[in-house]
Amino acid sequence: MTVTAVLIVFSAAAALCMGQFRIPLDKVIAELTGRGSDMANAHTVLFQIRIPRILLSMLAGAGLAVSGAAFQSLFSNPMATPDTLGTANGASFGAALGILLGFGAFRVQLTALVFGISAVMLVFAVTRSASGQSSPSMIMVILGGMVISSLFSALTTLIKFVADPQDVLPVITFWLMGSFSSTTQKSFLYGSPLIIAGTAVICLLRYRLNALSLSEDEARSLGVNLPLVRGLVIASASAVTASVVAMCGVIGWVGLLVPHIARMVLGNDNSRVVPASVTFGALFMLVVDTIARCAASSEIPVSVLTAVIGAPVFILLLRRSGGIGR
Amino acid sequence: MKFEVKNASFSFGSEQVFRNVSMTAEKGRIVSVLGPNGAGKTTLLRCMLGFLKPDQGEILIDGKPKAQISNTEFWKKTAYVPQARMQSFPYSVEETVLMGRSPYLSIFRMPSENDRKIAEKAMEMAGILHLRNKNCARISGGELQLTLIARALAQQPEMLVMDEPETGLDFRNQLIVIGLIEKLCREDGLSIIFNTHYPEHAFGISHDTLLLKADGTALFGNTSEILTPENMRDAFGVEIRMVSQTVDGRNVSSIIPVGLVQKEN
Repeated sequence: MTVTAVLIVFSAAAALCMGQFRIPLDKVIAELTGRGSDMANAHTVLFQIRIPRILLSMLAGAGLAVSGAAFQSLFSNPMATPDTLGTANGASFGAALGILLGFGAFRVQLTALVFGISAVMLVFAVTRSASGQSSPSMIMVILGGMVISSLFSALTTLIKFVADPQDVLPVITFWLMGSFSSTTQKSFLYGSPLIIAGTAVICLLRYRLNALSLSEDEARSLGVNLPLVRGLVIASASAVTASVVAMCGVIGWVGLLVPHIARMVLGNDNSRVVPASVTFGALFMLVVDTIARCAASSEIPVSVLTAVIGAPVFILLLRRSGGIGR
Repeated sequence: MKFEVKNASFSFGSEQVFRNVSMTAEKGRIVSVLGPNGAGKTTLLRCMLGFLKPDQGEILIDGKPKAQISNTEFWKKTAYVPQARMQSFPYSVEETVLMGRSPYLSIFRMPSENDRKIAEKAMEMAGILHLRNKNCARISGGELQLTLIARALAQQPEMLVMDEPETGLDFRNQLIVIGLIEKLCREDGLSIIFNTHYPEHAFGISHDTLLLKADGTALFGNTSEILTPENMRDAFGVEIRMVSQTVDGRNVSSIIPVGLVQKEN
């Protein structure tokens, strides 16, 4: 944990210096401590662009990783990701719709958030009316999630189909690949509270996630209030995922990969996995985004990099640990 | 703690599983539940624990309807031992046993040092303290069953409800589990209800027996009065011979299934 914290501080410092506009470390420190520097534009670049972007990428990584860990326990399924209930596809549709209608950046993010949350609510409406019971089984919820997810994905394709291929379609396509480049102070201030709140609730629930990952009867027999704990987990993880997708587009892999890395290193106990997902997720996303904006002359989509960097790391760990914690 | 089932009936849709089943588990007694596959042993257990709602009848805890007792209160008094199955995220033995403390923790709380001590004691009672750091995916079926019993003991219950605790284990592990159940009742005063496919085990340790029959009715009473060759012939459709022998001053009953009951006409 200490090692990760040191790595985060180190990477954040490097991320502040690096970019198309290079700022030497001593100037960065001078700006951060409020002494100011003689470098032209350094203040604006740091405070208007880099700091919000670095904070948001760390928050997004931490939030997605924690949501993934929570969903994996909720569904007792190592393959679950934060998008399992259709949140990401819902939010993508919202964003595509916003871009098609010519909304500004901030309103696009708001539309995405609204549709991301609605997707999960729709999943519940569908499963509840289908099963006729007050608490639907988790299998029903997963199937409902898949249905709603593919529905929104089809609708997104429809929007891309009708969008003007000259100017609107590329914007939508690039947005869907995921990027932190449109981060501003304003979007950060509106998007971060949901991410922080959702992550905090899951962190508080972390010990319950252990019992939740057992069979339903076992979880009940350990006194777990299933409707309450499930509801809290789904609401928190969906709020986080919808906000992240709304602000940065679809970023795959983090929610699946980071919790598993945490498990391979620390074992399956969620009282350790959840805090480790926060720090590993933040570090991973920070590093990936810094590479995304510095490696080439134009930005590389984040979701491409998460897979390209994530897959080898994951395979390496898988081979070393044999797949089971400890 | 006294656990009563009064005239319970249950059906899945239009298919009746059992009807008018009554039984009582008195404090400090062991009750075995026997019956052929499909007679509703597990379903009855799930009704007792509130996982399923019986169509009719009552579940009483110390004379009070179960519905009037809060879930947390209930799970501090009663612990459930499921059939041993691989966990999707295998925890260590100690982590698994510690989960037994969950009913005592409010929703956002972590287990305390005291909870860890209680879990340690539970592992000691089940004889698995030496396995504490092992992963549940890397221990034997018998050891996993003992781990689940230890988890139930960490709940510090007055009553254990066990679903076929010795199914799938070899002879030796079966005797270890059965011996542990007997000891928990005799030395620690726990009441125990367990489902079993082995009449020998019912004979060996249980005071009372509930025999579920394929037609959905049931017999309840002293084990020796219920598990007669006639009743078992009736319930299982199998001709039975009983052999009793004295081993080291202990009476060991064996049941020999000699053949299927021939249908008349």
